[in-house]
Amino acid sequence: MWWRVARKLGLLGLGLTLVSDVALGQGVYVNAKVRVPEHMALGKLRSIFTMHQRQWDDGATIKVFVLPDDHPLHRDFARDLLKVFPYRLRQQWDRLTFSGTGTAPVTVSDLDEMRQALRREPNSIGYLEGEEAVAGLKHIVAE
Amino acid sequence: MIDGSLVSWRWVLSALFVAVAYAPPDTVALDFGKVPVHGFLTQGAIYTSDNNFFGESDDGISLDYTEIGLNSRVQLFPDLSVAGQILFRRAGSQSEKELTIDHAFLDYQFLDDFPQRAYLSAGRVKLPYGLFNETRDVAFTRPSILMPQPVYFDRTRRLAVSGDGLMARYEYDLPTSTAYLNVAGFMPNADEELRRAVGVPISDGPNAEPSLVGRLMYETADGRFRLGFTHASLNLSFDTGPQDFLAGGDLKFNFNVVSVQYNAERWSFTSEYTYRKVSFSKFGPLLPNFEFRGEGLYVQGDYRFSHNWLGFVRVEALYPDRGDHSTGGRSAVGKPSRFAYQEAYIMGVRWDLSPNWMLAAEFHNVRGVAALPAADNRDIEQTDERWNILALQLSYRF
Repeated sequence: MWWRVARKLGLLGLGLTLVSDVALGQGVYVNAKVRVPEHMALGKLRSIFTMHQRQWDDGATIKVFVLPDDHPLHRDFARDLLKVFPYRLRQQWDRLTFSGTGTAPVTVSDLDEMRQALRREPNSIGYLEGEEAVAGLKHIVAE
Repeated sequence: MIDGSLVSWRWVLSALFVAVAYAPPDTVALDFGKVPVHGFLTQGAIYTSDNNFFGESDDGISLDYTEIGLNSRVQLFPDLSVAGQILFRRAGSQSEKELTIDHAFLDYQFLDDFPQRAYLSAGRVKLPYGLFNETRDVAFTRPSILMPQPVYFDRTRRLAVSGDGLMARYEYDLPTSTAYLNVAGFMPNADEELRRAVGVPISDGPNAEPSLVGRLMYETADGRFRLGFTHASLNLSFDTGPQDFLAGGDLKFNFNVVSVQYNAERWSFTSEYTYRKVSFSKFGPLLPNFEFRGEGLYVQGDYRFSHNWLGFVRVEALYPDRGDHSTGGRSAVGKPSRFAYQEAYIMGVRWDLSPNWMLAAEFHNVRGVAALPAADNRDIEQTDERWNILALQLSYRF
């Protein structure tokens, strides 16, 4: 996996990982058509990503996209931004899925697919590397 | 063991595993049109030094432990969904190639007003009981290959898994935590397995009677701390027939469970304690009313060596009659004293090869047989007090 190699190289002194993990971090993005303020409470974001809150304020069903459990950005996003251990997120989604009381988010395979999914789906939310502006998407600041 | 049907069954299973191994993109649910389908496929192998657990495992290897599930949840309207899961399960003589509707219900969200949410479900619902009951058949969600027996008895599994009725769920978000309340009124599954486990010599029964279960759970928003309390009152009745010497009567189970879990990045601590009361009444002059109170406890520590390697240790203890740990009192009438207790030390490892594949192994050192599945051990005199279990499990999910 390229990111594991990159990580190792970074540790060897190339500083790659340091730049991508610390300087860029992760940012929450929604489709530009979602009418939400730019700042969102951490509690609300957690409620959305744990699939408890299922609708936006206008009643539209929220479409949540995540990266695979073993993707480094997913693990960093869960731990550093949502402040929930990634294994706990998976446990919560599994409980919903296999008891019939809810659904898990849609897993996309990589960042390109995440970007496309967020642009394509009008009521979507997900996360990307970095916090810069992305065409067709709105960056959400967690507070 | 090697007869035609078993051989062909293993072929089918191997073919299924090969098929899923080469199945399209992992981590993406199958999508039949707009209907997402999730599922799992688990095969276990069990060796026991004595006694049988899920098949003929005594001094041999039993592969009679298979679980296959397919499920879906479809949103019909913004507030109304329908959910269902079919489950194929083999677990020794207790479930011989049994295909069941695990759950199937309509789910209506009647309150969505931050910080509160509430739902009402009607149909066959999973019973809220302890930390793991709703997903106990899904290997990826279990705390181990075999469920902690003091709290999640495999001996009377069907009674606890699901019920037909109504369930209300209420969730309240506090600033840094959430409270969950589930209450279900239902008719329990009363079947042959249960009949064997309770051992009442009456031809017609047990019959399901209205029953109730409620669980209150408190969880911090970061998922670090979870505290739960469950109360269940399960009711069954027996009708007498011309050939019976006992009158028809009532059998009631009362369960209380306290659940605690603490999760850190690398380790987790989980413990559940159950206190249960079993009462027999109205069976006539030959069986005067009586009850016994039992208790069970397990304590488990998990350690994550990395994001896909986990090791755990667990201690379990179950006493069907808490007042009599040596003979079991009324809980083990006519049985050897080893039915009065079951204590075990367990250690295991789990390796998540990918988000979809998992391999696990565990070892149990057991004293006593209080929770031993009755169907696999018809002759109680042939059971042994001290025994070991070695279990392996391969599971796939999508």
